[in-house]
Amino acid sequence: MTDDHLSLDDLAELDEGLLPPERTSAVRAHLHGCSQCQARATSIADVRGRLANLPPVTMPADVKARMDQAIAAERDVAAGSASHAGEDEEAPSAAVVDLSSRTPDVMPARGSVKRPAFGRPSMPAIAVAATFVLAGGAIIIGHANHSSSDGASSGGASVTAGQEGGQIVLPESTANLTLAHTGTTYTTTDIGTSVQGLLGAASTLDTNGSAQPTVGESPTPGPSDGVGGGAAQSTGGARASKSAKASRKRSQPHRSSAPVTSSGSLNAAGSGASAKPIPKALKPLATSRNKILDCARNITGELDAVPLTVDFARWSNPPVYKHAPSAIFIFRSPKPNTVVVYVTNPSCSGNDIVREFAQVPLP
Amino acid sequence: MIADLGDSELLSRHVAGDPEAFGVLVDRHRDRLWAVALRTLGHPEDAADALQDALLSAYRGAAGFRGGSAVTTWLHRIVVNACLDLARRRAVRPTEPLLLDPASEPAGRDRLGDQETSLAVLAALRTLPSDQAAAIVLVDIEGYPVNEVAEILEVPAGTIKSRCARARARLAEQLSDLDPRRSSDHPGNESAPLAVKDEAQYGEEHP
Repeated sequence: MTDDHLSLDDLAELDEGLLPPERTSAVRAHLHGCSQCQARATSIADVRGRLANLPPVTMPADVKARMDQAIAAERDVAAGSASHAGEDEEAPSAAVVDLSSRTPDVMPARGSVKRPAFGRPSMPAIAVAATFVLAGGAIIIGHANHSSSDGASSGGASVTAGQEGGQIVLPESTANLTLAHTGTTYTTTDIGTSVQGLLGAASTLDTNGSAQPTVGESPTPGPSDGVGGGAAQSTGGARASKSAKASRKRSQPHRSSAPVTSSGSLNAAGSGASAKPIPKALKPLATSRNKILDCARNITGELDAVPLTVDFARWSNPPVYKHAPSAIFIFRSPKPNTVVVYVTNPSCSGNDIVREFAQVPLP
Repeated sequence: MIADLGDSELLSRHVAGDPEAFGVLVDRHRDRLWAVALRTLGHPEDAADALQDALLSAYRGAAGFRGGSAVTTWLHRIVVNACLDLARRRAVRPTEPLLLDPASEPAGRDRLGDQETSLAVLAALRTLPSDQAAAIVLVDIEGYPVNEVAEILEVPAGTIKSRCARARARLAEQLSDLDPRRSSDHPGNESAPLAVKDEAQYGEEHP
């Protein structure tokens, strides 16, 4: 062994002081008598030097402008929700805010839709994250079902991308997110009926399109399995609309007014007796509110996308997928009585992040 | 003057609702944050995307800052995490041809030869796994102490050292390939493109 030349890894570890003592002595001994390895040791030092000598960079003006505008837009949204927060007693009203003149190209749609589409229609406008991506269209901020005392149903501003082609209507800021684990194997042919069945079981969509979960019983394995883990986190969520300041204060590091509440908790829905355990591969996703919201964002490209319902189930589309553990994300669509469905893999990443995409009409 | 306030005071003011404080804070550190994003991701557009995500996360999550570390450490952590997230998402792209735009690199004081060297280093940097890239960017390029980088990335200092060592070995390998004086007799340690690693990771999902 000691006669072998030293690898660059050895030399780099020696350089960093990471080798165990005996190995260090052996490597030093070899190095002492081997000009070839000495040269390689020098190459490690060279790399350090070359990295340290890279010319410094400064933020280009266009990037700076983009960051400033994004922050300004975020501030405007925060200010906007603050001004709405005090209007609990007022009749539903709608304010149309045209921000297009002052926020051109704040966040162009790029960066959100670049992923391989598997049989998915192209959706050029899906990247419109309505709360602050203002791609030139008017943003309509209205109130939906604003009730003053009932935290569960007091919606914040319902924000809709006022552009045709927007595929997703974001739920109002305290909308419900229902989680299910039906054990269903979704397929391309049955996805419509499966989704309709799920939504029928888990919630009813009223005429405004807002979800009203009707599931009261926790299915096995239930909240103790972690599905209800969001309950504690979202207790504050129900009060979010009381004051925008409170809303800001409780905001999560990576999510703002992430609206995951249903009677103040993350709902677990399953079709009663038919509920099956969540496939193991889906557990990490199914038990983390942040992961669910991150995933929603990853698959839609919407920074603030919040699904209506997520079913931790399976997907079959032979020969590629056979009962593969998959998360079925269901979002509202701007089309009346329609939902948008994404089937994603348990990690919510990788090249099959979107295994299927469908628009499903509701009965 | 708000510009004279310390970082944590600015952050507190932001959390309390001061509309200007966050902008001042970001402005103060923007070049460093930009450098980290650009060097880690290697692509200006990606870097801008990640940085924007990060700044908005920081804007909204400021109340979650606990004060256990410096504000800059916290900001860097959010930026690096956004970069790593984006790198993971970008990994779904097939290995794209290397598009290093010399125009995106500052020419300034460099002679042409230096610039070519820089580009070779940057190109090699892009082949690193993103966790190694983040470590080496922070330690070797930006010059942060290992302990601070460990805090930023929330891993032990030994992990940072080992990531840096592996990254340097890899870079040395690649850069020596370009250097006729040192022909490599250690052909191992091929760098696996991220996409391949990613696919292997989810291989079991394709029965």
